[in-house]
Amino acid sequence: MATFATLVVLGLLWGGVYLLMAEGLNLIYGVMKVVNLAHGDFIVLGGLLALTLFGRYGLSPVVAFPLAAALLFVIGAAVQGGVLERILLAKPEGELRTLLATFGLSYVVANTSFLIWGSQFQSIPFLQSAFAVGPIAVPQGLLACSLLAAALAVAVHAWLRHTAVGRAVRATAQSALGAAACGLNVRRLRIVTFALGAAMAGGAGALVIALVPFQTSSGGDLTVQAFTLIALGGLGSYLGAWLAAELLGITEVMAQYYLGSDAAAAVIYLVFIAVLVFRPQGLLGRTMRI
Amino acid sequence: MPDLLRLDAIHAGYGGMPVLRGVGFALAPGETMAIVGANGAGKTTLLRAIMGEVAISAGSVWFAGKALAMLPMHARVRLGIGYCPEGRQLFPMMSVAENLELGAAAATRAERAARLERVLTIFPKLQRLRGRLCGVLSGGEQQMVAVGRALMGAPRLLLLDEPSTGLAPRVVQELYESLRALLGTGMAILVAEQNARAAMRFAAKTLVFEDGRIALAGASAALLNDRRVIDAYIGAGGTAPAAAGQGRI
Repeated sequence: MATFATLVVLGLLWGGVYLLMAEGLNLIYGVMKVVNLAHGDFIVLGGLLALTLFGRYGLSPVVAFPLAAALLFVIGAAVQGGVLERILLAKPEGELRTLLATFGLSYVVANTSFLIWGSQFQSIPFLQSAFAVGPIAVPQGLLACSLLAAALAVAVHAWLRHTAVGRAVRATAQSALGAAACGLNVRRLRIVTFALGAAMAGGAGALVIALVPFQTSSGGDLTVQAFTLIALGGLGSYLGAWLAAELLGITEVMAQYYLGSDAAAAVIYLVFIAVLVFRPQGLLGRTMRI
Repeated sequence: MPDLLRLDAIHAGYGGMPVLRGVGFALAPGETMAIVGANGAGKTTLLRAIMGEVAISAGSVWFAGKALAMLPMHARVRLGIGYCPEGRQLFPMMSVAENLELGAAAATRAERAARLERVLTIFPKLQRLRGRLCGVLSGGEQQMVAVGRALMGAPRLLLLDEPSTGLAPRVVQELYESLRALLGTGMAILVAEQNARAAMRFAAKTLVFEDGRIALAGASAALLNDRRVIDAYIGAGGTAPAAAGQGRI
């Protein structure tokens, strides 16, 4: 029983980490209906920046978190303002073209990172011990990431619901034309949203690199993982993404323990396919959009 | 009185396909004008061109003495043009109150509250619907929110695109009766309508569009029973463009 409880707790905590890595993608998709295929590369970039700050200046990932987020905010704003906005204006098929553009961006970020950091897997030794809660051993790093993911999810939700800019972002997500007819600068709102999504990815990377080693080519896998999660939750749904993250976390940990690492990935995607077969809109699609 | 809105022989269309061909007219503060015509005559494109949603290939649009050519839609709204686009374009997952308040995004809290009170006076039905999501409202209620949201920006000119679309005749009548509360406030209103009778009974002046041009222009009362208006709708082709597309009435 203690083993099962430990697995559930670990699964929930890993779920928090997965959520942390997917929140930015969910925000961007929810508002702009754009799948940012460079999302995973932004996570890796944030992680590798944290690695450099740790290696050269001894800064912990917690300190690197806002710095990585700030850098990625600037990069995200430049990408949206300088590239994606122009592509979106080129109708028809503007959204398909943005997908292709972010695919290209993914390669640009990954290869530039390769030139700076090389190709080897790298991690930061940070908060590696665990503490005991009864019979359950809770890894500190995992707990910190998970708590931060929850705090970010709540903060983003509150920002969208209770601030003027957040309401404007939600309005833009529901009708860009309606938002413009209200006098809202839709272009600026999209730039802010994309930049914020990129910042969330960069910040997540700065923390997750302490748990999962990154190499410069890890971005693609992370994008697929994040997209799987938000699709499972219901594209653009915050509560849905949270539920999906916890479901995937618990499934993965259980499958790893009972079936082995090789089977775990297959089990996760079987769960993903099963949910989509019975609920194509995802766990909370449609009903819980932002 | 100086013009509030002036269009000088504008040409506009989609992907190189012309829709508006040399349309020009002027509207003074407080004036009401109906734009009527058959499907595809260019009514919606005209409003889109005024709002910058469709690029103008020739001619110019002026509002309160300012050329609008380089301004994006949100800047035109902030200049004082209220816009209810085709399909209402509400925020379905937000409440009526949130939709209305977003219409006054640039206003202070006090201004927003005062404008909300005024909108609820014009559309008292919305008072009890304030907390309801817009996506679950009836078509008539949604249209009231759409007009109310545009009014929240305290516009000097209100553009309404097909406000009666999808509404029952009784609801259309109710909507136009509510809009009458805006007459005499100094706000100019331009309403593009498929429902010509409803729009012409509301507006003092009418422009009849045919094939992207102004086919007829005049006082609505005079045109209401004019055979040429019906011809323009059924495409009889018997109407001559008013002064080469210019609609100065």
